[in-house]
This record gives sequence, C-alpha cells and structure tokens, in this order.
Amino acid sequence: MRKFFRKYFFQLLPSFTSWVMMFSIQLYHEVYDLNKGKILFHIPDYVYDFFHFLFLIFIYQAGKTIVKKESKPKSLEVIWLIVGLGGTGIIINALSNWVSHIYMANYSSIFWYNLDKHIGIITNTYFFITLVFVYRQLILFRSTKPKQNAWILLDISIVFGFLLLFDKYLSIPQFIIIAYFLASIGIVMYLSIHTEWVAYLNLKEKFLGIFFMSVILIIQLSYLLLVDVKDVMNYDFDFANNLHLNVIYFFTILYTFFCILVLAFNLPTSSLYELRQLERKAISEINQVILKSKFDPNDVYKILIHYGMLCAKADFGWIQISQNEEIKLIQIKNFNENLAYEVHEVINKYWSYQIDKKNFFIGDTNRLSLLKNKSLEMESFFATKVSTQDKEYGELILGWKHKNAFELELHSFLSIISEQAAIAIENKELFKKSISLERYQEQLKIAKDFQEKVLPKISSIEGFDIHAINQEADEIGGDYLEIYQDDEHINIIIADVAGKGTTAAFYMAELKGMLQILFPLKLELLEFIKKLNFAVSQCLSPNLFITINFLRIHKSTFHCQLVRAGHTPVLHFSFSNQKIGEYQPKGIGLGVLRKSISDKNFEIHEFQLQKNDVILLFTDGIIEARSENKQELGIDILKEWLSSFYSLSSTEINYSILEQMMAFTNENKIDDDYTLLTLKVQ
Amino acid sequence: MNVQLNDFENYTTVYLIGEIDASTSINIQNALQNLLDNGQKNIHINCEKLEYISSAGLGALMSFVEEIENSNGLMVFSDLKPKVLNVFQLLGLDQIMKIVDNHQQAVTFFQN
Repeated sequence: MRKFFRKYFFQLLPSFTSWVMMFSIQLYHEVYDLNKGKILFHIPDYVYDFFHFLFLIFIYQAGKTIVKKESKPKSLEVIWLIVGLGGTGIIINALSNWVSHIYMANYSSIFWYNLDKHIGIITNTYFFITLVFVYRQLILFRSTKPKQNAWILLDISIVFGFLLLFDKYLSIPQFIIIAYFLASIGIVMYLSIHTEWVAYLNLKEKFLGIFFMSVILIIQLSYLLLVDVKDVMNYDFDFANNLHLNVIYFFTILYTFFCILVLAFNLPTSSLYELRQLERKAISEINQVILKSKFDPNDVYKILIHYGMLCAKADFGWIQISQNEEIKLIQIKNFNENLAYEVHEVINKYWSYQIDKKNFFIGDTNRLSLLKNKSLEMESFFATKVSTQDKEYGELILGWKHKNAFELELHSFLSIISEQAAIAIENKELFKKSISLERYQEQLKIAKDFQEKVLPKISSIEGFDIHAINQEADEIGGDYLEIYQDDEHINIIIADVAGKGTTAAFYMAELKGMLQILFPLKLELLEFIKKLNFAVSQCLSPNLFITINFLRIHKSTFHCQLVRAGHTPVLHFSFSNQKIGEYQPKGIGLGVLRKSISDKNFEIHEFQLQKNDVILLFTDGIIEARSENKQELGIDILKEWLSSFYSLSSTEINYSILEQMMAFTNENKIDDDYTLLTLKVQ
Repeated sequence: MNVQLNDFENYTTVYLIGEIDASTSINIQNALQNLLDNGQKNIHINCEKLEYISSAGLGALMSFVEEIENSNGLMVFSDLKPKVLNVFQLLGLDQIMKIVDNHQQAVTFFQN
C-alpha cells in the first residue's frame, strides 16, 4: 500500500490538495457565519465549487492513469482491488461519522461535521471514479470501434456533469439538462450491455465474480446512503448540487447490476468454457514435451491420461499402445491391471465389429456379455483411438463407477487431445527419421568420395587404347578395377565382391590394400592368387566371396596370362581371324575354399594379343542385366555387340555396349553394380 | 523362394524352390544351420525347381561346404538346371561340391 502511494503520489497530490482547499474554505465559511462582522474577508461560494471541480477533474485524470497501469489481464483482480478500496472508504466514512456524532454538541463539532462531510466526498468520489475506470477495462475487453466511440461520449458526458457544479451560477436551461441526462442514459445503457469478459471466466471465477459484484453493489448503496441521504437528513440536499455525479452513479450501479445478472445466467455454461481451457492447457503441455531435447512418448501419454481423466471426471483410465505387435497397457489409473487387459480384449472385439468406423466407442460394461459375471467396479467407459490420419498409436480408455457417465460434449475434447498427442508423437518420429536419414546420406557421401579415390584413374598405357566404365547400383558398391604396371608387365584386375552396398564397398577397400602389397612382389600368377585367397579368407565373412580376373600382359611381346577366380569369362576379339574367344579357365572364387586351396583349383590360360585385338573384362552386372520380361542379357549377346563394335575406339565400344544395354533393359534401372573395361591393342 | 525338407533314415533332402537372392538366402542358411545343429551331416540338396541363385545364395551354400566336410558329413546337389549349374561352375563350386545329375544318383551316395 505504501509502495502504491509512493508510486502514485504525484498523481494523487493535485486532487488531494484541491480537497484540502475545499475543506478549508468550507470551514472558513462556517467560522465566518458564526463570527459575522468580525472577519471582514468573505470568500465567494464559487471558489469552493471551483476547487470541487478541480478536485473532480484531478481524480478523474489520476483514476484513468492508475487503473490503466495497475489493471492486470485477469479481470477479477481489478475487481478485487476496487472492493478493497470501497470497503476501506466505507470504514473511514463510518468512523468519521461516529466521531462527528460524539462531538455534535461540542463547539468543535463544526470542524468534525465538515471533516466528516468532506471525507464522505473524497471517499465517495475516489471510489466511484476508480470504479468507472475499472468497468472501462471490463467493457473495452475485446474492444471494438463503436464501443471505443461510445466510451469517448461517456467521458465527455461525465466531464460535462462536473460542470453542472456551476449550474446555480449559470442557470443552464432545464431542457439542456434533461437532454443531457437522456443522452447519458442512452450511452450508459449501450455500454452496460457489454459483458463479454464474463464468458472467459470458469465456474469458480464466476461464483467469485457474483460475490464481488454484490459486495460492490452494497458498497455503492452504502455510499449513497451515507453521503447523500445524510445530506437529505441534514436538509442540505440539493438535487442540482449533486447532478455532477449522477451519470457516474447511474452507470456504475447499472453495470454492477447487469454483471451480476449476466454472471448468474452464465453459470451453467461454465463447464464448456472450462473444457476449452483444459484443452488449451493440455495441448500446450503436449507441445512442450515435443520441444524437450529428450523426447519420450510416455510423457505425452501421461499428459493425455491426466487431462482425459480430469475433464471427464473419470474414475479409471489407461492407455493401450502396441509395441512390437504386442498390446501393452500403460498409465493404468485406479484399476487392476489384469482386469484392464480383460476389458481391453472386449473393447478390441468391439472395434472389429464396428461397421461405421468411428474412432470412439461408448459403452456400459454390464452390457458386454463377456464381462457380465466379473465383479467390475466400472459401470461405463469410453474409448477413443490415439491416431493421426496415417498411423494409429494406441487407445485412450476412461471408465466410471456409475452408468451413463459419458457426456457427449466430452467427445470432441477427448478426440482433439488424443489426436494432438498422436500428432506430437508422429512429428517427433518423422523428425528423428529425417535426422537419421540425413546422417546416413552424409555417411554414404563420405563413402562414395572414398570409393572414387580407391578406384584407379585409368591413365593411358603405351601401345594400348583403354577405357573403363564403373557404375554402382547404390551409392557405393563392390566392383573393383586395378591396373598395375611394372617394367615388364601390365597387370589388370577386375573384381566383384559378393553382395551390394556398404559391406561390399568395405571389402573392396580391403582388397585394394592386399593388392597393393602383392603387386610389387612380382609373384607368379598362381602364387599370387593363392596368397590373395589366403588374405581374403582371413577377413571376409563366411558367406561372402570375391571373384576376380587377373590378366597379365607382357609389355613387349603382348603375351597374356589370365587367371580367373570365379569371375565371369574374358572376351577376346581377334582381329586377324575375326573371332571372339571366351576364356573361362578353371578357377574358384576367393574365399570359397579357405583352408585347403591348392594349385589344382586354378588354371592359367595363356594367349597372344595382336594389333587391333580387343579385350573385354566385365562384371556379372553386365551379362545379368534383365529385360522387362526378366530375360537375362547373357554372354552371347555381349559377344554379338563386340563383334559389331570392335572397329571403334575403346571409349566408343564401351558406350555403344552401354547404349545397347539400356535399350535391352528398356532403360530399367540396372539393380546391380556393373563394370566394363575395354582394352584395344594399337 | 521356398525351402522344403524331407527326412530320410540317414540323410535329409532339402528342396530349393524358386529364386534365391540376397533377401531369401537367409532361409537356406537357417534351414541348413538347423540341420547341422540337430546333428544331420548328410544333406542332399535337390535343385530341380531352383530357377535362379544370386551370389548371396551361393555364399550361403558355400559357407557350409567346408564345415560339413570337416565334420565328415556329405552334401550332394542334384538336378541342377543348366543355368544354375553354369553359375556353380563359374564360381568354381563344382570343384568343392558333389554335383550329380539326378535324385537317384544323389541317394546312392548316401547309401554307400
């Protein structure tokens, strides 16, 4: 309170000073009357009225600012403030009245009588003017333009009312005063019907509202009785003298009365408003769970069951979720778990019978034959799906101890919060998925970059025209190509790691490492392949293997050696006799035999290359490409293509074959890795 | 893709039916592992109705060859279609697996 006065000291000071002036002048008048002649100086009446007028204007101004600053968004707190102010005023009034009665017979009664009268004026005016501005807050709640304009008119008419203090000097014509009052009544009536704020109170607040408003009405009437009727009893009452506050009295009393009526009539609709409020609260709490960094769907279910039971005033409740295709009941409230599962079985049966595909189900347990003989406390229940349009997450079940407990208006509330819960969970899941997908793609990109580094850049080899195409079915794959030259030989290896994707790609990288160690050792082919098999067998998982073709060309003689480890054959177009050789020497895939491998498992095929001869090395992705009717390309078609394209350059041969392949598959995506290497002798 | 088993006195016939690719090869692997776990080391694999086998399928079969040999068991393949046989040969599986033309020939292996 002290803080309040300190804060508004300068707001309240002018009105208080004017009031002190009024009181002093009145006192001086009385003293002057008693001592006629002795005191020469006479203060005219209008000076008193002038200070009264200033007093009103200052209060009006201060009231406007203070209420605006102090009023909180909650309307009831403002009312609470005014009740306090009015009540205090009444007590002060009653006290001063009592004191003035004690001194009535005394000479000093003039002082006490006037003090009492002016305390009446100040408390009365403070109270009513503050009330005007408090009501202004309420009326202008959800403000509209006509309301604001009407308020400006009321402002003018109130201030005009203050001017009526000077009526006795100005003798304003009666009809103007009557017109003024009629106009004011019109404005007041218009403004008083605005009680929209009532709709935003819940039941408890409405009861409080009625109570406070009644108290205000009593305070208002007490003021009128204490101040005005006292004046009447003192034969001092002048209607015109009190004109200045009549609009305020009329307005505040009428509005109080209206509010009480509206509050009373609105009591029955409170529950609906409360539902909306709970709905908002539940939704905002669910949203907060989503924002948490560590999301747990159980938190959402907790909120759902809490608000579900709260608003439906349910005695029991639980949530059913399906986890790994298994039905699980969680958040079971006030109910035996085993019984809940039994009830749930019945409910699940109902869902399957349901023809109209509603997402909720209202039932009386005693009507459900399967539960008839069970001693359930639960008499009625409600079930609704917790689902979005795409996905069902579970069901919310509420139960009551009495029959027909479910009210239909609850349905929309429960379905809204259930849906909101489902949406929250779905959103979070989608978010998680997109994050992990992004991460996965990032990893793949790294792997792809890495693989591109692993695959050799086919550089030109003196005496040969060489070109290779490598394509992976996924981002990364298991095909591999390596060319290694030493003083004598060109070593070409084409390899295919069984399987596709990341696993194959990793083994491919390991293979590269092994080859890089083995190549410089300049081993004989059989020795090389056996060592490679040993190394591969150490690291490959038991159900995987690697196939390779290892072609070694002597640089000066063009004599070739080929060893094959389970790989597709090598094609050799001989320019001199225009024939294609298909070389498939005996050879077992790397990693197929891990312990007992020997020279016997391989054969070396030797042949001679000549000018314009073409060698084709490829992986099974080429010959296993399938047409629309699932026909495999096969090696014979590849041979045909080779014999028609042999005269082209290696690059052109590769792209012509690829073009033919696309035509064959009808540009279906080729779902295997494929690699094609063409080597032409220049 | 389908795997059917037929138990006989001292061996089990496994019928591989349809196409075996990466996603279905796990079925063969499980079936064969089950037989081994139950002590059956003599296995006859009938490929009469096997239309296609991918490298993943071959890998699954391959992984059992050495294991069965080491435990003195016997795995015999019969009735391979030319295309399937070609795939076996390409990889060199014919070197390590017993492959016979027909069911009867496979059965005689186990009778001896």
